[in-house]
Amino acid sequence: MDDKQLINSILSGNQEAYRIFIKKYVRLVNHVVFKMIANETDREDVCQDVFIKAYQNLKNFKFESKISTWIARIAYNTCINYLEKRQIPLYEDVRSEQETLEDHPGNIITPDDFTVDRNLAYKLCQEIDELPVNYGLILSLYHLQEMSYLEIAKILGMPEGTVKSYLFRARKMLKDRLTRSFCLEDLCH
Amino acid sequence: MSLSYVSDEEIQEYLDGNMSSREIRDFRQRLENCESSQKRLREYTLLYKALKEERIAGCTADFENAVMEKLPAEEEQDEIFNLSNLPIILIGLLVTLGITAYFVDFSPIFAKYLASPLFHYEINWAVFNPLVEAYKTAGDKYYIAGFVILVLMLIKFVDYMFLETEYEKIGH
Repeated sequence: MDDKQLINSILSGNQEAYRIFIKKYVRLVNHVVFKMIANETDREDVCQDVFIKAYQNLKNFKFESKISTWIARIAYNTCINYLEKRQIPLYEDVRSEQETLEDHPGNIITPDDFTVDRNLAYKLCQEIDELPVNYGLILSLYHLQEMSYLEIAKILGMPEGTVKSYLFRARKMLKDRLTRSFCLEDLCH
Repeated sequence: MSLSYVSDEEIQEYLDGNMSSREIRDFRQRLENCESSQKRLREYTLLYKALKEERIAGCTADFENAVMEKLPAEEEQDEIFNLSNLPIILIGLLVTLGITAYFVDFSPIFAKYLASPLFHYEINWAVFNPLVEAYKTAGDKYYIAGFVILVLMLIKFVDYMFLETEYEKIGH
């Protein structure tokens, strides 16, 4: 079932079709929300809000963009509202209290998940969490969701050039921080 | 800085696949002569690999059910006018107009209107309208039928020109 059929099915009142919709896009919404919101107890509530808003506004979706871009935009706006309500600045490091991965059990890569690059993976998670919120989000959308600059620009409501510049800066910051911690090449296999 | 030096931006452009074949050839040539650039390319390559494999926590297993439970049972009706209300609205309009026409003398209002070509057009149209037939038996009052139709057309015009766009805005 493609997106158009799925949405038509939901609009015709088939709530089970919405369950399929959630399954399809929950990973993307997680990536946006979990990157932007540090508070673990609130994250899942925000994700739920995103899917409820999407359900209520689905009839207004005109297929002028990809559904993934549309729902990621809803997730981004919901997070912005959340951050504004709590007066958390978007372009500053919200995780400046030197929280460690141990403080975020949901974020931990358990020993079972460790690969040969476990030190790097562990350190990378830490360093990404230290980046400004939007940097982490752009990295995630580009590398994990494989979105284009244009799609990310639509989600974040910023020019394509800015997205590209943030992405370059974020990767450079990450690389510099990681190379300060250990020799990256030693982890290369 | 060596002429062969490759910048971080260039390395990222290369790894993102944003370079033309000519740029790639030039990039590789310069890279061969610069060990520091080669080292940075390896570091970035590893970083890209790690970013691709980054793990992000997910919602709890019960997430779908939690959302489904919170969904509104039935979609709220956004339309201001519901089609099922249309007969009631029409009956209400006709009764109101009928009562008004019975008690109020509209002849002064129509005095000038009668001479208008638009009026004759309306009357011709109204004669074929069964709803208006009743008015014809009431003598002069059938003139009102034309007036009623004009009012209805005006309402529809206002609705089409202004209100429908408002409904759309509410919908969005």
